[in-house]
Amino acid sequence: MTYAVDIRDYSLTFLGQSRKALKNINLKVRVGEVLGIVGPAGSGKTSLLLSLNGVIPNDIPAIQEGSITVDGVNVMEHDVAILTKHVGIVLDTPDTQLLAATVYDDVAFGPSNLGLDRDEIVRRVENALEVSRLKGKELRNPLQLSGGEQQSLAIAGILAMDPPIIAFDEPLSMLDPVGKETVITLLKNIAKERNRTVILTESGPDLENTLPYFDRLVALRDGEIVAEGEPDQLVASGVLEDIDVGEPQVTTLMRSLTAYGYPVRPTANMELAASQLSEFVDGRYPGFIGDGEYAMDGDIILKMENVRHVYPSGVEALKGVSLEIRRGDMIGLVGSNGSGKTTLCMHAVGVLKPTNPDGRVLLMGRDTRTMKLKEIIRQVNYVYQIPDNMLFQERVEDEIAFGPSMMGFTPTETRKAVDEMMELFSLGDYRDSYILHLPRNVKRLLSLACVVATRPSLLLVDEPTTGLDRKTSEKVMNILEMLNRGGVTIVIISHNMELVGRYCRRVIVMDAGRILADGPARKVFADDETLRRANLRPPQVMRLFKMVPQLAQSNVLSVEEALEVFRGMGG
Amino acid sequence: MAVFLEYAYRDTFYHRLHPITKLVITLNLFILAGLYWDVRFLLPIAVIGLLISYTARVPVRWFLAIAGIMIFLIPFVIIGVLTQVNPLLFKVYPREFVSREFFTVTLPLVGKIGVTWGGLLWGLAFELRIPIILLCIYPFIYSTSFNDLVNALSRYNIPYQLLFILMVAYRFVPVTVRETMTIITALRLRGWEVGSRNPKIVFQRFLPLAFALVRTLVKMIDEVNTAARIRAFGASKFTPIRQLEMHILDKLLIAASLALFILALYLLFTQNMGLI
Repeated sequence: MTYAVDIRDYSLTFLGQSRKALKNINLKVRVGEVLGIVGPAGSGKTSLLLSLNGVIPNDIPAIQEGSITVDGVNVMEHDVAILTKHVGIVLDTPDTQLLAATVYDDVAFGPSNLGLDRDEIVRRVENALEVSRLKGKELRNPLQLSGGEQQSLAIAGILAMDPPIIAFDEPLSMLDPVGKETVITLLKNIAKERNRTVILTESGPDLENTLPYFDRLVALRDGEIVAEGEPDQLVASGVLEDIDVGEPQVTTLMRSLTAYGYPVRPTANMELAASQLSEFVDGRYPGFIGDGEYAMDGDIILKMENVRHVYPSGVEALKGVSLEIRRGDMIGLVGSNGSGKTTLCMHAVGVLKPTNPDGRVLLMGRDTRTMKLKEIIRQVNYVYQIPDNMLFQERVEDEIAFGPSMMGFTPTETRKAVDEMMELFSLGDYRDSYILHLPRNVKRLLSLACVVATRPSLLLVDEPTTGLDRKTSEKVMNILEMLNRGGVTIVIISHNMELVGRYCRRVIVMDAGRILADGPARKVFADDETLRRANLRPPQVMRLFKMVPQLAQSNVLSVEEALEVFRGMGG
Repeated sequence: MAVFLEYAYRDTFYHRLHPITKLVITLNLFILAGLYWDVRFLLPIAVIGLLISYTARVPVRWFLAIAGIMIFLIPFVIIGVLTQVNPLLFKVYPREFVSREFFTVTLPLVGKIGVTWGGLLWGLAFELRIPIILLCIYPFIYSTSFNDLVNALSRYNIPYQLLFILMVAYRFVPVTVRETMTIITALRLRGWEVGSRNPKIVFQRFLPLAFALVRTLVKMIDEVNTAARIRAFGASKFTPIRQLEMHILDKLLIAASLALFILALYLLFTQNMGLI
């Protein structure tokens, strides 16, 4: 049998490192197969993908053992330039892959480099634009597209090169729900309609979206394959939990119910889970969860009144936003890319001011127009989605001390703040480490620690768990919950509805610069019409319950709540 | 909307010109602006640069950078004006004129210094030259996409390495501008401000910005390299997606530009035209 990819006894050690990044990998991928490679951050997924097209070791020096054959070509014997005809790779950061000045030129860039005939290039570009739904945007600057569109463009650029094997490195990690949907549909088309071999890596958060499309799943941990098999079976076996990738909510629920002795079995398949639950709950009535209403009685920290913001380019990012944030709240701010979430946050921290004279942002009753930025950030601050954007020092300790010392803390106070953050975020082992060499999850913790050290009473956190494995995600969220219990008001900006549903009492939905909904999480997520308008969808467990008529009204937001429903079940 | 020094698609006369035409015009103006010292010759180049920028619809805010650079250059110009007093350095203006003092200043520790006409002429040229060079480059960058440039240059067998440098250069400024804005905002949110006129403190305060920026840019070059390799950059002879046609107007403009350039160089080297 001919395989699209044939990896034998492959090991990899990066130059200057003693630890092997990949150990004795043996993997065969059939032509036309859709293979998922799952593993926590640092498990070797990206290294494996970049080995397929020779970027490792040609551009990233490393020592290789074993062999890799792709599309019948021995990877070890060819340069990247040759291998690009056989394997296309889409990286996890879409904006870094876009090299040309317009969408059309960017899609054409790869085929042009392959020296194809002009008519063939035009045909391929037109086709790739069609498939990736970028028609009509040909003349736009790629860097000004939304995240989802950028990822679609990156995929279109590879599609136009028409390699028989396409590998995707966590293609959904930076995308909003609409972007995820767009890309997933695109992947489906590539695999099924174009009969291409697709390899896709995933570190956990998007398993729910990607699992239905995998023919086979491979689990990696510490550079080794620890399990391999049919996706539903592999997820049900619990191996993904063991390697800290986590699993979809539906699987966790079904596994917990199985453990409690309910007559169901673990699965990742929504339809299967729904049919099992339907059979079980038939004739019973579910336990009551509550309507999610809660007393919003804290004093108002931040108030926005009719805030509009028009950028110099003419884009109106906020169109008359009014809201109140009360002390002690835990709020989820959701919406698709470009809906105005970041602009709203930048107004909250005083970096931007309303462009309409009657628009006001009041912080503790004071108009931020009359306040200096330093005064504002003593009360409210913002943690960026990408930690590298906010790390400026060489070493971890200096980085945490930077904010407090800039804010006028005394040396003793600064030292105290650093020690507290080291303990709270478990960064003690990294105290003297160089930031440049820190793994992504530690950088995330550090970026939070840097801001928490300045002791704001309102903290806005952009995508706190993006790119993190489950263990670190839970750690981050537990710290935020702890801070919230300690009186810090938290606003989480996220595309992860499971996360928002589980941790946030209040949800604000934004769309096209306006607030579409603002209220208790359960109420907002139960409002299908609003979510549809904002191109969002409720947490998976809520969707599962909606598929079972007897449970449809329960509106559970998390697995814990779903289990409550079953515990309280009568009949 | 394009950020600073970034191409944007527009349907203007200058955008429609062949990349080689624009390259020839830009290089000619660039070289002359670099060689001329006399303000009377630098100013016409500035006017040409402004006219071309207007034709290409270069965003007005790009010119704010020129104002910034002119302000930044002032201390260096002052030093030059005060120290450029050797009349032997001047080739056109009479030595008696360039060494004549028209103003004196008394500086602490240094004492009395005379400002000469020669120093002033030198200072003016120094102050104007970099802004004029930018004026000539703006319309080229704003109106020429990277693909079109590669397309045009690939006919002349420009090596892959050079094209790669060009690619990084094309991305460098827009990415730097975007990243600088993000980093400064992030720094300000941590309480960072310059807050001093002491050069040592100002230097220290800018270190975090420089550190983060260098790290980002090194990463960017690395990422561009990987992204370009993944997209088969340099794998084969580049097939242009558009047939770039050199129209009669292009040929006329190249001919006129080259003729004027050669004439200007001839007069410069034989008659010292453009020097001071």
